[in-house]
This record gives sequence, C-alpha cells and structure tokens, in this order.
Amino acid sequence: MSALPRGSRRLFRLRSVDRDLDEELASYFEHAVEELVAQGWTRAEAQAEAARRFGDRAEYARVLRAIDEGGARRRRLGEMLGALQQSVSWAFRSMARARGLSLGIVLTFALGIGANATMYSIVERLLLRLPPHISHGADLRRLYTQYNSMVDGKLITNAMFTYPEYRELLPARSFSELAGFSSRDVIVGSGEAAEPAVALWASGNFFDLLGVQPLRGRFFTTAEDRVGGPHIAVLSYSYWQRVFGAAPDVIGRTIDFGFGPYTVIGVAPRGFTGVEISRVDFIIPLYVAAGETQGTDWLENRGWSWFEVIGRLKAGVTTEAATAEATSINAHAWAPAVARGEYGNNPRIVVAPLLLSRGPLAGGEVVVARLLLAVSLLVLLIGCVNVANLMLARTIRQTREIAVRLAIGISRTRLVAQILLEGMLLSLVGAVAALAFYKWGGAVVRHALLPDVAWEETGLTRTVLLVVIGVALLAGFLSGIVPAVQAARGELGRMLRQASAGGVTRTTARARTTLSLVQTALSVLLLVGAGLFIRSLNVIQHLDLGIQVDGLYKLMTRPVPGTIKRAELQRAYAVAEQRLARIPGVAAVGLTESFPFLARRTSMPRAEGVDSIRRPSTGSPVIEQVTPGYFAAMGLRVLRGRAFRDTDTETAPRVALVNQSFARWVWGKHDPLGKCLYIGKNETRCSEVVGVVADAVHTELGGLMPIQYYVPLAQKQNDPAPQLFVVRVPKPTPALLRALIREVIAVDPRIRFAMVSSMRESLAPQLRSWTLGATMFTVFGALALIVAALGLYSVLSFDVEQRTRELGLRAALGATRRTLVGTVVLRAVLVTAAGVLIGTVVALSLSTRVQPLLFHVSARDPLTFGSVAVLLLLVATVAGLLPGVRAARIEPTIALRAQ
Amino acid sequence: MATPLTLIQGTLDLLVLNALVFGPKHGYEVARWVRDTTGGTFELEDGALYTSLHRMEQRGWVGAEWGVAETRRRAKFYSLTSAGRKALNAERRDWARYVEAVFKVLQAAEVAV
Repeated sequence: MSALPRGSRRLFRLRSVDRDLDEELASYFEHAVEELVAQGWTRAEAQAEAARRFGDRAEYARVLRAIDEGGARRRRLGEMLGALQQSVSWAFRSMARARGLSLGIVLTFALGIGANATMYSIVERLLLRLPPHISHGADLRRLYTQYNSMVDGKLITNAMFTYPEYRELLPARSFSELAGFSSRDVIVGSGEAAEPAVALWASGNFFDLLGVQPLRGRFFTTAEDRVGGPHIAVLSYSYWQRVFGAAPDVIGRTIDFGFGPYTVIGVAPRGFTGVEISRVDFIIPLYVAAGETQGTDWLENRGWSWFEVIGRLKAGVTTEAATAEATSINAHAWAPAVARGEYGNNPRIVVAPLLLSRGPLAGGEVVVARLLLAVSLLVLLIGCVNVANLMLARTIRQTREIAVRLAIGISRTRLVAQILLEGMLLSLVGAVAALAFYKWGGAVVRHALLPDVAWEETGLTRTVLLVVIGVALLAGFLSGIVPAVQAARGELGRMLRQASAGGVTRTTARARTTLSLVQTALSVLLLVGAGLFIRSLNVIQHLDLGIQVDGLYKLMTRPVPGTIKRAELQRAYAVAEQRLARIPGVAAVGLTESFPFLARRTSMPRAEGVDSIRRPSTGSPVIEQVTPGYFAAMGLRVLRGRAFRDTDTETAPRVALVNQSFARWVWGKHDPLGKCLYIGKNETRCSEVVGVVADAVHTELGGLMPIQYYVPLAQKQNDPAPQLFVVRVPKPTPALLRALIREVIAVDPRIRFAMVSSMRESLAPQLRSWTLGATMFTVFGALALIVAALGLYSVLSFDVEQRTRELGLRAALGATRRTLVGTVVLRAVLVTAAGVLIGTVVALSLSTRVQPLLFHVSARDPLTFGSVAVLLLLVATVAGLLPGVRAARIEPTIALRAQ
Repeated sequence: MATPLTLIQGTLDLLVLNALVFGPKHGYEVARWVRDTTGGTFELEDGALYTSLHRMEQRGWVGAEWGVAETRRRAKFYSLTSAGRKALNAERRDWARYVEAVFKVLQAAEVAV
C-alpha cells in the first residue's frame, strides 16, 4: 500500500484522478493481451480483440473520469465542512471555558456594533435614502434661488421661492413637471384642547410628481388646487393612527386648523412625509390654503418667498442643462430689479439633489450625523482593540495547548484560521446582541437625538442587517488577527519554554502595549470631543440673548376666519392683554407681530441727519410693532430713555425705540435720543426716538444680532400681521398656563384657537446640533473610557498572573508591598501617559476640522485637553491598583513553587 | 451460439457485486469472471463493468486499493464493503422474487403456446 501519510495522500488524489485512471485501464489491457497471447493469439490480434471486448476506450475513459472527479469533489466538500464543523465546535468549547472573558468580549462587540448600527441608520435616513414611497427618485431635483449680496458679495441661497418666480419657471423645457410645497405649523382643535400640528401645503401635481399612491381614499388633483378651491385634506398615516385611531371611516370626517372645516379625502401610505424627513400631519392643496390665509397678494409679490420647489427632469436632460435653463429664465425676470438695485447680483437657480441634506443648504444636523458615524466607528475600533488585547491574553494562557497542537501537526494556517474563526464567532454573537439593542434601544436613541424626524420606516431593514453582519465580521477579524499571527509565529521550543516560565515574551508584551496605547489614544479623541462640545453648549446656553429666556412664554391665537373684522379683533386683543396682565402669577404681557426664530418684518426707514441708511450684512432693519408691555414681558433691557407707555396712542406724538446696534449703525457716536425716524414710504411725520434698548436675538443664535427699531402698535405703520402675546410668568405651572388660554378665549368666542409655548422650546431646535454633539460625545466618550479602563484592568491583572514567579522572587528578595503595588500602577500610568500623548497629538492635528462645529471655544482648548489627560491618568491609577494589590499579596514561597 | 442478449437495466451492478463475493479482484479479473460465468450470453462491453465498479466505489459499496496482481504488475483491486454486501443480499432477494414471478406467469401460459 501507499507509504505516504494519510493527509498528503488526500491532497494528491485530486491531481491523480487522471493518472490513476490511465494506469488502471493500461493494467486491464496488459492483462487482457497477456491472456489472449497465452491462448495463442498474435500480439496484434490480441490487442485488437482486447480493444473490441473493452469497448470505446476514449468514451469510457471520459465517463469514468467524470465519475471519479465528481466523487473527489464531493469528498473535498465533505472534508471542508467537517473541518469547519470541527473548528466551530472547538471555538465554542474554548469560549465556554473562558466564560467571563467571552462575556466581556461579546458585550464589547454588542455595544460597539449596536452603536454603529444605530448611527448608521440615522445617517442613512438623513443623507442617503430618499424619503419612502417616492418612485424613480433619481430624476427628482430640488430648486434653490441664489444671488450675491449687493452689500458684501456674500452668497445667499434660499430654498424658498416667490410665486412669480415659480410661475416663470413652469414652462421650462428641462422639467417634465414642477411642484411646490410649504410646511406650516398650525393649531388643530379649539380652546384648551388645541394641539399643534404640522400641515403640508402641496400643489395639485405633488403626488403625481412623486409617484406615490394613497393608502385610503384619494389624493387631491391639479383641478382642485386653485384659489377658492374645495376645502379638502389628506391625512398622514401617523396622524390618522394617532388622532383618528386608524378609524376605517375617516374619509369624510373633517379637521379644523383655524380656517374652517377641511374634509378628509384620503390617507397617505405609512411613512410618507413628502420630500423631507420631518413630521407631516396632513396635506392641503397649496393654492387653496394660500388663498385662504394669505389673500391674493402673493400672486404678484416678488418680495414674499414662501414655498419650496421640486421638479422631475425630462428624460435625457442633465442637471447642468436644467440649471442653465432655469438660471436664464430667473436672471431674465430679475434683470430690471437688479438694475434698480433692489435685488442681489447674479441671480440664478441651483438645481440640486432632492434631499435637503445634499444641497447647498445642508444644515448642521448633517455634519453632526456624519460626525456621529465617525465617532461610533471609533468606539467600535476601541472595542476591537480591547477585544484583541483580551484574545491575545487568552492565547498566551493557552500557549502550552497551542504548542502541543502545533507539534502534533496542525498547520499554521489552520491555527490562524481557528483563532480568527473564534474572533468572528464572538463578534457574530455580539452582533446578535447588538441587533436586539438596535431594535429596542435604537428607537429610543433615534427619537431622543432627532425628535422631529419621522422615524417610522426605520426598522430592521436589510441594509442595516447587512451592515451589522459586515461590521461584525470585520471587527472579529481585526480582533483576531493580532493574536492569531502571534500564536502562529511563535516557535515550538520557545513557546513551550515560555509556558513553563510564565508565557511573556517581548513580542507579545510589545503587542499588548501597542494595543493599549491605541486604545488610550482613541479614548482621548472621544473625550476631548465630548469636552469641547460640552463647553460649546455651555457657552451658548449662557449667551446673552438680550431677552430673559426663563419665564418667557408666547401665546399664539387665531380667530375663526371670516367671523371677525380687523378692527374688532384689535379691540379684542387689547382687552385680552389687560385681562392676561391681571392674572395672578403673570408679571407682564405684551402684544407683538413676531417672535425670535419665528418670523420677522423688515422695513428701511429714513433717519434724521442721515441721507440714507446702508443695509448692514445682517439684513434690513427689523421693525417691531409692539404694545408697551412687550419690553417687560420679553425682559428686554431699556438702556437709555424710556420704553413705550400707554399714553403713546394713535393721536399722541409719534415715538420709536431703537436697539443699540441700530443707534450705532445709523448715528454712530451721536446721541440717538430725540432724533427723528421717518417710518414708512413717503412718511413725513417724525417718530421721535425716546429710548435705546439692548440688542436681542432674532433669527440666528450666536450670530450678529440684527438692527431693530420698535414702534407702538397703537401708532402702527403697517397693517399688523396676526399677533401673538408674549407673557412673562416667573413661576409657571401647567394650571397657570391653561388659565392663560382660557382667559384669551373668554374675551370673544370667535377667538377659538390658542396655544402656549415657552421660549426654551423655541430655542431647543437652534441648539440641537451642539446638544447632539455634546450628548453623543459624552455618551461615547464614557463608553470608550469604561471599555479602555476594563481593558487596562484585565491586561494588567493578566500580567500580574503571568509574572507571578518574577514578582514572588522580588518579594522574597525584600521588595515591600508598596513597591510591588507601585510597580504595577507605574506601568499602567506610563502606558496611559504615552497613549494620552499620542491621542493629544492626533486631536490637535484634527483641531482645524472640528473648529467650525464649536461655538466660541477653541478646538485646542487647554482646559479640555488637560482635564481629559488627568481623568485618564486617574482611571489608569485606579485600574492598576487592584492588580497591584494582588501582586503585593503574592506569597513568595507559593509563587516560586508554581509551575 | 445464440444471439447475445442485452443486459436488463440494473443487473450490471448485481453481476459485478457477485464477482467480488469470494474476495478482492482487479478490474480484468472481474471482467473475466463475468464472461466465464455467463458464458457469453450477454452483449457486454468490459468498459461498462468498469463504469459499474467506479460508480459503486463512489457509492461506498466497493472499496478500491492498489496492489500487485498475480502477473507481478500493479493493479487496482476492488472488494466488497459491508454496505456492498448488504446491497448485494437485497438485490439477490429482489431478483429471486422477480424471476419467480415471471416464471410462474410463463408456466401458467406454457400449455397454450
């Protein structure tokens, strides 16, 4: 029989199927010819006869080869499966033996992978995926207007269009269809039961353009979308669920958001929120709604931009071609205004991808989302490094076992494969745990981070699953590669000797130290990020906004349309203001047109002593028409002169207030008090400036405040827009807030809708990107710190265990307990210090990239860096104490006798 | 000699298995035994026997090992495995039943012909 070892014979069989066959058939013919010759045939005749008896040799050879090769293939597959099965069961057994270690590894993976999956789903929704139920989204585009400011050439981009601009674009040949939409905050319900809702005004072709089908009922048509058209609405799925309890008879019921009853004609499919990811409650025809609430002025008004425009490119039209055509139309239309200096320079249209986050106006959330993804990847990396460290420690512990296996004859590749397999199995188990976290915890995280995004459709999608598995396999591989290579590289003799001496070689120690360094450096990055964001948030939260944020509430109210005349309404509001002021607990009440972050009206006045007022970079001066109580209610400081008084009536001398920036901009160092402002076109009456107030925030948090001037509502220049009350309630309670609403409604039954919200609520969205950054970095930073600390602790305690002999020897030779503890702690501190140094260097090099995201905090803030360094060193000391104490307790005699 | 008959499907393996009952044989020996025992009744190409042998080797009914033949040449020896032996017994029983049934039919109708 064969003298080769079994393994190699199996290896050879593949190539020798051919050779075997040839030899076998040759053997047959030899025997056949021999026998025939012995019976008296001539050799030639014998060969012919043997060939005849056998049959078509070539054909049979082919058949036999096919049979044999098929068998060989099946055998190989069976062997591979068998080997795989064996490896897997080995892996599971060794995992079960080191239960604590395995649990730690699985948890680390679960956290890292789970966090990544959640962050990925957020990023995917914000940046990558088109909103659901849109068909052929590749052709859809969003349009923006753009121009260069006349004043400083700054590029101004606007997502909103005026109606004339939109109308001019409609005939454009590049687009097969253009549609408009506008998102509005409304109040649904009356009196105290009023609830805020988000209405989407959409043009009649909106649904057709997107290719979406109704879930129930129907959508409205282009014919129905006209001024004076039918009062109909389409509900969003979530609104139907939440407010109508998913009632099957919802079609035909009505909703009222302050403009009379609108009949529900259909329900949109689940997860459909139009083109954006923010919440939408119901959809109304655009022209019907505009006609109802904005009169007809908007049809020709080129100064009022109020809706967004999307379009579908015609087949074969490129974005560039569409941009060129739209720009030429737009520039042509604006040319006269530009010539008169009433509009910016170089007006143009930008045709951009559908998602806001991929256009020129991508908000801070996008940057933060990308940042979060990077952060979660970092945490996963730290987790991998940690796991690699733990697995390396374990393979060292198994040194003897590995050495024996190598001696018996397992190939090195098989050993590497085995360890890698173990790593990947652990990470896959961790991935399963991560998926569980993602499903239940992920929803919490998503709603906490970005609450006004409609998260319905983000469950466990196929992409997320693939991402999780992919990340898990990669993580497992990365974690296993270092210990695997280390194990495979060790020579037999050296490894066996190490096993008896304690198993610590220079190379393995160096590998583990490197891993600890990397881990510490990564933790530094995360913690520094956390510190910087927290400080930014702190700075911005304590920013002087000019007004008193705490205790400030806005009370929005609206009458039923068509039921009350303007003049009557003003009288009713005046009465309401007085009654609100009399409620105990209310410190001040004012009436105003606009509110920070809500809306604003600008109007350029003429000033005494100045030819014309230049427009500053913050925009035209903001004019506020307010009642005297406004200033106390807002907490706006009057710096000089006086605020408005009740005596500043319509017939009294006209007065005005200016803010500090206004005074400085218009009159420079001259005293503004007593100067005249001519407010309104062709106005000749002088409004005397009687006071100067502090600058107040209006539309941008942390930016320059606009120049503003104030006019008493009684002496109004323009027909005031719908007003709202500003109320100062130093000690708010829910009962008190409800009392405010009741009081206003009680004035006139035709004022049905009222809603109270605090200034803090208005501020929250502005702070969101910093809050997001601060929260996430802190959470991840803490996570990274815990993981790093655990890793350091386990590595150190393993170290102590392995160096038992050496430490016992030291103790025997007279080292005090304190020295021994000190040795271990010192090692921990030194390694951490090195890691901190590396991490700091990397963080500093990244500082320029991070700076734009921060607020009035340097990306190289020494306080933050210092605190992080101190924190990590402290943690290292603590992590080293426990193993250190254990080292000190080693009995020299026992240690020396061990092994 | 009478016209050689075509072998009924499925009986090739039966013949080959039987050839190996008395011990391992190499390919040519199997062919010779089958030829001698059936006395040329069947139109059988020896290549077909090899096909049967290789198929049954993959199926696990026969085992194969290289060895030295009586002519002192290398040859591939086939032997029955225990699975093959079981299969052989099963096939023998089936064949006996088959033949018995056909025979009964023929005997019953013999008088008429």
